[in-house]
Amino acid sequence: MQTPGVENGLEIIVKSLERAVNVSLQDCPPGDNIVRGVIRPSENNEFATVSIEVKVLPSFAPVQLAKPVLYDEADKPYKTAQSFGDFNREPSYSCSFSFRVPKGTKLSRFAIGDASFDVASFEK
Amino acid sequence: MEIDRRAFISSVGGAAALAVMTSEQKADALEHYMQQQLDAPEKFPTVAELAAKNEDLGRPSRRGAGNLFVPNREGKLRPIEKMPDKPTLLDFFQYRFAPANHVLQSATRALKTGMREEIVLACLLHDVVLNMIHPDHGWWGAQLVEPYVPEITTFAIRYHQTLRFYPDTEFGYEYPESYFRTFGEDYQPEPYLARTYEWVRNHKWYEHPRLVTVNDLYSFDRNAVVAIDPFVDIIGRHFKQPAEGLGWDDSPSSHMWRTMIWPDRPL
Repeated sequence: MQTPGVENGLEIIVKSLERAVNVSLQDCPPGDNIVRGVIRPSENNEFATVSIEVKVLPSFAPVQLAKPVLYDEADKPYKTAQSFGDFNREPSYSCSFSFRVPKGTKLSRFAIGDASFDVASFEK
Repeated sequence: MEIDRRAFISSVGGAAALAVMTSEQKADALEHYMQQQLDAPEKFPTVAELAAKNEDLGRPSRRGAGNLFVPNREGKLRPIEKMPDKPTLLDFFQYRFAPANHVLQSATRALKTGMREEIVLACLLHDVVLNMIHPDHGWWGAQLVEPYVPEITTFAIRYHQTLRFYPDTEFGYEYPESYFRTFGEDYQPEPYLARTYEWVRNHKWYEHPRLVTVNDLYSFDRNAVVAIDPFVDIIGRHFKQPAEGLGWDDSPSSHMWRTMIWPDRPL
């Protein structure tokens, strides 16, 4: 069980790390946009998808948060196409962020602002 | 979930079968169809399969024809209203481009994320030429507006088409799943696109068309409520509206605007 982290009044917990070649690119919290991203068959990449649960705490104040970043074992950062939407649209919600990484990349941590979450444990 | 209307109608036995179903039966059939779609991963067409469809000479139109010239999903042509004598860009949005939902969403997103006005304008105009023609719409679209907009806007429109085929995680752009359906799962950009990409990738203005693709990717929300009003001032500041009206100012692209004014003109 992962430990929740708090960033700008948002309690965040990482629920899973999965690999896929076809992913939703919905904002977080999820909106109505239906856009999906894909890895082409000729590519040697895959998506690493981090699913999180977010709880909006009373201390939350509207803020512009940078996009999350995923790091591999060598601390190389990977960016995501997805963005945060209106954080307090719901009191709590689940969402996921997908990152294009070379196939088989071992990942170590997921960061939102100053909050950092270990994801290496999901790799086992 | 996105519903492929044709596939759904086909799944119930065709339009005739659907027509005799009650509302309740239709709702059940739709639910069943959606469940099936969730259970089974979508099979995307190959380039060869899509090319085979082009062999059908009984189609109402070819895939590259502009929206003003082809029937809509209900099989009807869009009504063409008479335009003002000296049409402005806003008139084109009202009478020819409407509902223009996708470009308005795209520009709204660009505005919301604080992009410079020339890029907001590029997002607003990046696909309007699809009303006239589809193939190579980046080049056609840039040519259409080139006499009236900043050079950065033209550049962004011209090359966004090419960059759509190349993901760039630095800017948050992914290859869209919809391109598997549109171009085929095994599609590889043609050499002219690969050459253009290499050139634009090393250009000092690379970020401008790239930012159009970023907003393009996220602007397909059918429930989004958008309007042209937030962009009126930006158009006023950056779009050189000709006094004679678009189409009548003898610019290098006047003929393109006239084509959209008169889509029924035979020659």
